[in-house]
Amino acid sequence: MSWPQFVTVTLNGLTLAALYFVVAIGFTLIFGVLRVVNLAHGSFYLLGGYVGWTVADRTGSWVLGAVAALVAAALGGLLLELGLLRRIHGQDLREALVTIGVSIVAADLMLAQWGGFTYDFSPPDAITGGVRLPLLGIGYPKYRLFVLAFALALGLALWLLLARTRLGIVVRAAIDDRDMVAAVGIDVQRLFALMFAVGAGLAGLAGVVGGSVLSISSGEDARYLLASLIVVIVGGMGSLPGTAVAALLVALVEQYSLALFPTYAAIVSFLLMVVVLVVRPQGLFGRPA
Amino acid sequence: MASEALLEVRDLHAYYGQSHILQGIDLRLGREPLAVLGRNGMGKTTLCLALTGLLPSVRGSVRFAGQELVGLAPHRIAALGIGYVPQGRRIFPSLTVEEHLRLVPRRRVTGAEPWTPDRVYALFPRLAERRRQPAGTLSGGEQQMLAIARALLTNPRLLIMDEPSEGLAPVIVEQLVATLRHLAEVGIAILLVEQRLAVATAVAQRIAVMVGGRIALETTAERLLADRELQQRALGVSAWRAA
Repeated sequence: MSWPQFVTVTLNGLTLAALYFVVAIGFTLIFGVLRVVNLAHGSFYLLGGYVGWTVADRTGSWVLGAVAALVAAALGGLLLELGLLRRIHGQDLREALVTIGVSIVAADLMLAQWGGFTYDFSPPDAITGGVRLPLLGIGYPKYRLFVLAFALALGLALWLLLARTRLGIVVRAAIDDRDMVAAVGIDVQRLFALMFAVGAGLAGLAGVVGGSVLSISSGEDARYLLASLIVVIVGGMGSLPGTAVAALLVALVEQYSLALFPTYAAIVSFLLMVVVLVVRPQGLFGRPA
Repeated sequence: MASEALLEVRDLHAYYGQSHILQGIDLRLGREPLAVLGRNGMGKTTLCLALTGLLPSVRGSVRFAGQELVGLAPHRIAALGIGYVPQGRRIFPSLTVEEHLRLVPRRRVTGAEPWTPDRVYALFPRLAERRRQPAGTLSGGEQQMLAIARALLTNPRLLIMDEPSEGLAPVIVEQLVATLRHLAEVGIAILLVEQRLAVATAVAQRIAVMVGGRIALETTAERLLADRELQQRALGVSAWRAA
């Protein structure tokens, strides 16, 4: 690999990692607090992308589209939790089957509404175009650097929220022991609903942020669900630093292997997951069950 | 016994899946501490989970200060004034001592002096020293203090404690007994679930013995301590030796 190619591949890996982080963090928060493996998580990514594109197209504002994506996916998550999952909490198999079912139904409904087309976003001018990177000596799309900065800011904000606020304390306590959180007088059902809204909302937002890197079209839901699953299995379910590190690892491994041996690239991420599962089944930052 | 009962349990049944664990419990608790003694597997922890609402499949009646608890969510029961110190302490390992105290939503109380983090630290100076330490790194005795502190901050009228002496060194158990007596003196009703006869009788005058998911007999601490044969019958050899 030549130097410019190496730098480009590394930067692509970092920006992909940023995207994986934004999608997977909602997945891991929902799992950490509710113990629900939400297999409809990718659907919220896709829903956010479509709704965001439609709103951005009508209003001409990409930012408004991103906000609409966040809100629409958060409402969708709330509906899934309050309408279906609340009745079957604690029954792992049913939760898995219901969320798979919802993801299939949602995929068809979205196909009916938005068709099989590919939708391109146009982010604001301030974050589009290219930029020449000092020191590294290569040109790189500004938008991808924005995605990186966005993920860093989001990660920092979430970390501060979890470490410093009372809500963060409640969330960490619930990840440790939900029943005892209820026993001190906290309404855990409300916390569950909130976590679902936040987790799904972040996936929806990622639909716009990520869709703007390439585009959005049917099938993206499965792709990002799979990426989220791999990231949280490698990082450890319910861990914020684990999700960040695993997103980096998975995305970099993916990009390097795409550059070095494109034929086998698809299996390398899974290989990484298999190795982690063998060596450390609870994930890099996870606590043993 | 004629006085108004704070907690009145009538014909309480509880299930884990198909297994019928509590088979008709009757209990009354007023201001006086009550200890429920029993060997392992007699349903003591199930009783605690049923009373605090953490076990949903429950049948029968639990009235607390005139209000029916069966069917209420755990947080509603806590808000009515029932504090729970669970078996194994179940503190939150990823929270510091201070964060445990910040976590608890404090119930408004009339009359009694409310529990605040400062008052809890005054009761357990060791916790004040370890304020910023992750709770997972505390010793067993300190974790027990923290579990009690966490329950106290809800300003409970009734404290349900499930085997608080389990796994603690004898000197720490003595401190624990002193703490529980102090809490009873400041007006908190205590339901103490125990395996150890010595601990139960040191805290409570009234003793209920639980066998096979039922209350087999109710007696006083003196009578139980004086009657070795009764101890043998109700509690088996291990508890007799622990006494």
